[in-house]
Amino acid sequence: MAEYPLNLTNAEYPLIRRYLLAVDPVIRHRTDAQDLLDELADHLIEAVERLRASGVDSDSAERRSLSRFGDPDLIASLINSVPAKGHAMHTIFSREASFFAFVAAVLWTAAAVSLPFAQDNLIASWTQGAYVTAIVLISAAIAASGIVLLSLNVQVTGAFDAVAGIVATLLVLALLAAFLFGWFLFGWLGLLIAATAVTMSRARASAVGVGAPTVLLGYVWPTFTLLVLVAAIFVTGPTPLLGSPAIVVFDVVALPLVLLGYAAGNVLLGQRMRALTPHAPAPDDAGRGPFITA
Amino acid sequence: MNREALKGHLDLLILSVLADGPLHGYAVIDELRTRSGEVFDLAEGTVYPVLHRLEVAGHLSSEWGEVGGRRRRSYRLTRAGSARLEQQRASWQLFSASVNTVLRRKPWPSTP
Repeated sequence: MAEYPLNLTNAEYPLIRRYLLAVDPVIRHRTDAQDLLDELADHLIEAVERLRASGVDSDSAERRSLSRFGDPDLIASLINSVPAKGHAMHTIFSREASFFAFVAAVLWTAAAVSLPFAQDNLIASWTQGAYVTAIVLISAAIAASGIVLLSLNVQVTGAFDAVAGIVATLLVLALLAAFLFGWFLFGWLGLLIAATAVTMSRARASAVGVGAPTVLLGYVWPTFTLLVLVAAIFVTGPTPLLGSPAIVVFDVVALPLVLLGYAAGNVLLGQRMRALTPHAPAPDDAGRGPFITA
Repeated sequence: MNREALKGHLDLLILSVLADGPLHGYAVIDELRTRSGEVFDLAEGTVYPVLHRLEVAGHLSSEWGEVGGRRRRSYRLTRAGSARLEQQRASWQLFSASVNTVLRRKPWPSTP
């Protein structure tokens, strides 16, 4: 990356440098200030080089390019009127995130269906085969959702930053907790709530997270799930009343609803991500790559 | 062409230019100028706020690369952007056809 504000020597493009230094104070506070300056510099230098190539001398080329670009105060204020956005970092995660969101939704739905069968409601004890099935489905669903959440973090901030690292840690712990101690709902569900809430709070201002996905996954689902977990303390407390209607309702209705809610959230996220996914390059782009320089 | 008149249609024009493939900012302006037969000639810097706004809205996505030792950002249409383009194109065609109809209308009673 160029040195801030820009690695241009006076000898190269003195007027462009002066122009960028005039823009700089207006946008300096932004997290994407360097990106903006680099983008404007690229434009102006290309304009100058084209004029030079057509025989215009350097000084005239710079003056004409800057004149065509517009007043620096006006352009800076116009650019500043659009909020900074984390530029998408197109990793394989972000490209395939919508696919994983739909996979996660299917897995959560399957887990919700399998969960009531995993517990014998009459004796409230885990039965081996059904338990393993439910735990494997839940673990796979956490893994798929984890990819979606991490990809969302990367898309929103443009980088795998420290918070994304914390989210990743929470998700790995949730996955391990579900696989090893699936019966301990507070463990994996608590970790999943934390990872989801942190991610959606970051995504709520972005095109991906704004609206329904944030409302469901950022507010409604965590609240409902926490209420269910708190209810679980009373339902399955130190001396649970085995086979009681409360336990049956908890196992057959409340817990599956929690998982189905998360599945619905993944569907909403998947739809939004799919709508925002860039088109694949057209066949005639294959040879020249995504950047057109001519 | 009047720059103020052009500004109201920049979203549609930029989405349309990017429908053919990814471009960086300078190429977007160059393409606009070329396709319009040099009629669309606006302050080049004003295109960037539009590109950024369309990206924030999810209609465009951008990628960074390096060309000639400089960082370069190129923009491409998203699926949402394609849908937006079709919507705006249909709206413009309806508006344009209606204006043309009004302009062609002969005063009543018309003379053959």
